[in-house]
Amino acid sequence: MKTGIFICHCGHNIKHTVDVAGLSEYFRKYPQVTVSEDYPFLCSEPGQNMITDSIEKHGLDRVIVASCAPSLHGELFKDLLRKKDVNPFLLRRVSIREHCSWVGDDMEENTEKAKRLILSGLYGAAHFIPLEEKQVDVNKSALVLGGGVSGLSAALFLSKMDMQVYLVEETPELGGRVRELKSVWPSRKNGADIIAEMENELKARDNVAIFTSSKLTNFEGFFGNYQATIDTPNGEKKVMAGGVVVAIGFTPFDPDIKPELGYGRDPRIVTTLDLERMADALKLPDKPRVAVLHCIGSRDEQIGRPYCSRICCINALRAAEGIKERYPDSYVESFYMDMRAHPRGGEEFFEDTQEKGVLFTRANIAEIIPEPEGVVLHGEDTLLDEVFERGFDLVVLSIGMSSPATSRDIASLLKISLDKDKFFLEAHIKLRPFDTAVKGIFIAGSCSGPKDVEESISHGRASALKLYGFLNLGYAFVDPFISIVDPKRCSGCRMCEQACVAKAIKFDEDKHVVHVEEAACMGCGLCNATCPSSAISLKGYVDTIIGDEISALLEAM
Amino acid sequence: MEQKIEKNPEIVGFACSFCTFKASEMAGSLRMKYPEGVKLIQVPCSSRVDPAFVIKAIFEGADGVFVAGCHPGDCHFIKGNYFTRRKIAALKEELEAFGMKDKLRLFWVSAAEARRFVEKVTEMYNDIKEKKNGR
Repeated sequence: MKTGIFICHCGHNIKHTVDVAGLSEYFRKYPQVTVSEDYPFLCSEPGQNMITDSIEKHGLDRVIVASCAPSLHGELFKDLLRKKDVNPFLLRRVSIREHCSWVGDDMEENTEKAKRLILSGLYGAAHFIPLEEKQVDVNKSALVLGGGVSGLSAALFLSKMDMQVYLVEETPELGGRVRELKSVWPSRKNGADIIAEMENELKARDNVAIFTSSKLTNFEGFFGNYQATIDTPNGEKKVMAGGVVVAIGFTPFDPDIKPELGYGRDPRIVTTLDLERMADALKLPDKPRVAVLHCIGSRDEQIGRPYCSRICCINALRAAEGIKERYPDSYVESFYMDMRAHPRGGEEFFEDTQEKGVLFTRANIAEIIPEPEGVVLHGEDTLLDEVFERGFDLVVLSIGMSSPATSRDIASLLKISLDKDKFFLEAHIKLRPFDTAVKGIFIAGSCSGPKDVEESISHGRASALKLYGFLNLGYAFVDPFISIVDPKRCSGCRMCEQACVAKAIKFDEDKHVVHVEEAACMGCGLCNATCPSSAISLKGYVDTIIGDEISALLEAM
Repeated sequence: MEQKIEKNPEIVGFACSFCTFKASEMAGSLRMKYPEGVKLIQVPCSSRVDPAFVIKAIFEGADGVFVAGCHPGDCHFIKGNYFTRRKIAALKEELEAFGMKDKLRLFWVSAAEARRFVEKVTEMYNDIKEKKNGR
């Protein structure tokens, strides 16, 4: 066995708290190690060349790369082994950045920890065996969940790229929330027009199947070959999809959660969405007094919504401007926490609104009390440090975005994760913002966190493009980490059969042993931990690998 | 008075690659700090953890072992973590007979809960450190 250890400096990221040169020196003297090198950036081209050259020169059959977390650059380093005809599963990644240099400050302690981590990689890798990646054909089709603006843009893109698209929408109509908007920032186009344009284009295409008033009820399979069951008004439909774009949007914040706002108890207290709907039917006196409240359902720890919804400042400004335009003599006061008019042209619009005569008061509003002669706001001016009470004819609540009502159901069906605010979690916040942890499932639009229309459309297209890139290859590799039975050891007790959730373990009555059905095995390793005879093991995580990793971590060899 | 040498504990954690390991990666990216004595082994699911691994780690000198998986109901493999929960509860009872119950902990950390991961491991580290230094 010839092992090569490659330690990355990651510029200063690892080097500043780990003595990388000392480590590579230490491992050079280690008996099982053939090569040990450190390099500023292993992911750079010269870094990659160093690894491939070493593999060729020394005939390495185990490669340990100590660098960033294994979820980053995974395929990059595997490809280096493939290039040199070495089985890619003989590579071991050791995370000495996310799990070592970034979480501790002490050079000596960190170097010791990194040494142990690499050591456990080294000892674990000694038990690696070449694994075979099974190539399977992928279905060139996509399931798009949600017919809002991001779902539509994803579906359109995929359809134009010659993919069969199944679009599932819960409500009877496509278009989602954007359909209700009279003028969409920044183009000020009518939302319904934007949707109509996309909808007509999509409906004219013959590789798109649209299911409205439908729901995803079951989902199984693996990347390239997912089977989805959709409950439609015309009965249950089963479709095969290579991948999924989840674009189920958001739920507008329900102001009833904050009863002190008095929403629903008086027609003079409305949300920005209500205002949009009833704009023309609005009846106000000639010189109306209007209050616009920012951050309703955003940046509020008490109700579990600590995040900024990103769209509501601009909505509040638009509401204030709209009223000022219709009633030039009105008194419009906007109560804000911080002004975050971030989308394109937002800051300029904020200034315009000020020039048009809208007053801005930095305040916290404690209570809204409807009285016959006017709605009274009780609050605190946070710049003047003063408590105030002011009466208005109309109060507009600029509501934020809450996570989609069905996010938990969809997450458990698709086996993807949610973040703490119950939006979908991306695989990596910077490097893989559209992916989920499950291969072939992408997220788009506001279901992964508040976004405006412009961002939702680009997010939808980006996710669709990523999915297209995966599916267009026409094939995919299935992870080889599945269980395997040693029939000589198997006593036929069938404990694993009971434990297996995937029902992948089958009992052979004649031979009185079990066997694993490869296609069904999910690779959790529960059977491995259950077997009293150590007859069944999960490839890549066999007992000896984990056992030796434990010993190496504790330096108990 | 003679200065007592501080003894730092060694903690081995088994982290599910779908949740806790992801959370620990995020904790790193966010530059959160936790003691160097905490070291992780990545497993595909918390249910892969054979009680024998825990015992092996304790026998080989770990002062503490934790198994961390997805919150109940959130398992990527549908119900692997329910098996973990039962297995670890049974193991804890056995360890109690040897007075080593405190060496093993089980907790749930989702992929988004970097802060919770850091809190949990730091709390465990500090508790064990206190015992180890006889306080």
